[in-house]
Amino acid sequence: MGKYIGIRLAHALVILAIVVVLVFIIARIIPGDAIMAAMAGSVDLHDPSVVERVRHQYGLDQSIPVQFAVWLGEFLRGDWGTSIGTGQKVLDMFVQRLPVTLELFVGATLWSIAVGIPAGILGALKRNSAADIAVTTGAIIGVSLPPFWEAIVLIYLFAVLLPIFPPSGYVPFFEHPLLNLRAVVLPTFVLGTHAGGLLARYVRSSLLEVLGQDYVRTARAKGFSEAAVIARHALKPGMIPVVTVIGLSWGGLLAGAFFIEVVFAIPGLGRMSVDAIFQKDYPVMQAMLIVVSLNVLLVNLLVDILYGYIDPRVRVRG
Amino acid sequence: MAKTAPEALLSVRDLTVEFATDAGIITAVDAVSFDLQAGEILALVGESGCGKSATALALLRLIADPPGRIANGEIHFRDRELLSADDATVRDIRGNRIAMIFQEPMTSLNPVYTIGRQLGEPLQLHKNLRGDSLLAKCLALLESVNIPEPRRRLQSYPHQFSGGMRQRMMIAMSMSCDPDIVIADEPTTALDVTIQAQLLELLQAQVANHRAALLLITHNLGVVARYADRVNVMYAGRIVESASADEIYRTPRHPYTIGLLRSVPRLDQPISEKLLPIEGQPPNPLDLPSGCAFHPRCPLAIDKCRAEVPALTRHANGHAVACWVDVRD
Ligand SMILES: Nc1ncnc2c1ncn2[C@@H]1O[C@H](COP(=O)(O)OP(=O)(O)O)[C@@H](O)[C@H]1O
Ligand SMILES: [Mg+2]
Repeated sequence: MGKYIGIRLAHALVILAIVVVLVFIIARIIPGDAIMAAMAGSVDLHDPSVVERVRHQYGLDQSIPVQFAVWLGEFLRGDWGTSIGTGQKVLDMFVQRLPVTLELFVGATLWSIAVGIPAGILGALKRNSAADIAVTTGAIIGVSLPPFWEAIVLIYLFAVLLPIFPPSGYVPFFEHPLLNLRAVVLPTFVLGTHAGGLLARYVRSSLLEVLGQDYVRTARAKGFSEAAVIARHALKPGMIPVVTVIGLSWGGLLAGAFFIEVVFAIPGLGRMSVDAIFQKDYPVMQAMLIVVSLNVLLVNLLVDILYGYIDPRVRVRG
Repeated sequence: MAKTAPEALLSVRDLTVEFATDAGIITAVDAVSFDLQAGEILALVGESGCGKSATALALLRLIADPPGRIANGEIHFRDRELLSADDATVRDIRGNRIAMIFQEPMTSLNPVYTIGRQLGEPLQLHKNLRGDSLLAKCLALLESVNIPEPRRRLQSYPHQFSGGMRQRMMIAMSMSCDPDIVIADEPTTALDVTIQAQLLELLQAQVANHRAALLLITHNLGVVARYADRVNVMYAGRIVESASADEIYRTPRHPYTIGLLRSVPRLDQPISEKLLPIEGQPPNPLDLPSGCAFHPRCPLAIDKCRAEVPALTRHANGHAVACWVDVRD
């Protein structure tokens, strides 16, 4: 198992290195010098000596490898530059907003698991029953419901018609736990809907496949009741593909967060990214790219480790 | 075969198993009747697709439903009739009084659990063994089927076992609750020929030790020569010949049995005659020939064979055959 994790970790590091190099290259080939664009208002860019001075100040007159080394060193030391939009340190902006987005992600993932997995199991066990049809239909709706539409309907129903939740806004948990929870219910629900439907479908089909396997028949031939057969022999192998789906969903939550944080006026990484894109805030966008990749890599690593834990055959293959 | 032998441990009567497929209903097992005596080794032999596995699974009500269904019949085991018994009664017999060994050693064990856990389950379930006594019994079981380093092997996962070792483990598991009957569905078919005989010998020794009866299913009539007391030959869902192993080999009376004997090498005889495969293909189960299902492939077929299904008729020495022609003529 140790060797297996080591190999997975090495893979993740290689990919991270490639991402970092790509982010650096993208920043260099974006049309128009980012720094020049930022300086445009404050200095006279028609004066070659001024341009030269600014380029020198930002190290742009050095060779590309040197620039990369300097940039990487600064990034690793936590100097992620200054936001063009807000004038804040980019790292500080991330540190402030990360917990907000993380709260949404964790909430969305938890509820999608809490609903999706039992629903999928129910559908598989009561195949073709009314319950199964309800599960499959619910899952299709969950997967295909446009989030903006769902958000608007939910805001209308539960913030306007029945004012249980605030229509938008955010209160940090440690400031006021109750208000915080009320504020995140609707956005978390919308964010996790897709993943919940996806999970229900995958759990159902995965479990159905496992229930047709020879080793399940062996378990029945031992004399186990149907419930014991499922609990002791079907659930664990049935969860193998499901772990991957949870990981993929987590990676996909960010796309949802872009939109949902804007709609619900939540000051998280998603809204920060949208702002950065509209303002051509390159330092923030650059850092965002790396953080997004890191997020996906970490989740994949976690999925791989869980995989190895569930399926002993994976450990040897490495 | 028609009358019930009262002393039989297991009596199967008119067992009929159907599968619903997109193309129609397949009668995989068609009114099969046979008896299994205590301690006896009974072979069930026939080409692939003739309904051997369906028969075996039906005995423990393990036919997957859907698509399968036990449409008719009675299965008497001791004082019970299994097809009308409640689920709890049947579960109490499975793995305990009647144990099963499956054909596919690669897929019949759960890949995500250790050998030890899976081996111990029948003992946990039926004998309430736990902890040290369970461990001790599992170690003894692996030792009894000659698996070296049993303590370490209990921690292994199925993929770390060879096919032969998995079947040994399956044999050990089937014996764990001292069953009355073991059903072995082609236990060696998936394995290398070199270890097939070894495994069958082990199986024979184990059922003898535990005084269990064995229903040995195989498509290879040559293989069972050494092991079986009696042989039932199956064709297209029916038993076409039933006799002691000696009789089957010395005086086979069904043209299909004769064909089978010529087509396989025999472990008990030097290869003196050339092997002759039976002409033609097994029939399509969705569209069985009229009359005797074997007639299109039968060198001795007469008009009556095309028209009427011959019943399994008992002759001297308990030798029963379903054929309109007397091959001795
Ligand atoms: N699950 C199933 N669905 C449909 N048909 C089946 C199924 N299992 C078995 N059959 C059919 O039943 C017949 C007997 O199959 P089986 O008992 O597995 O044969 P054998 O074990 O002698 O090779 C075959 O024609 C096979 O196609
Ligand atoms: Mg079979």
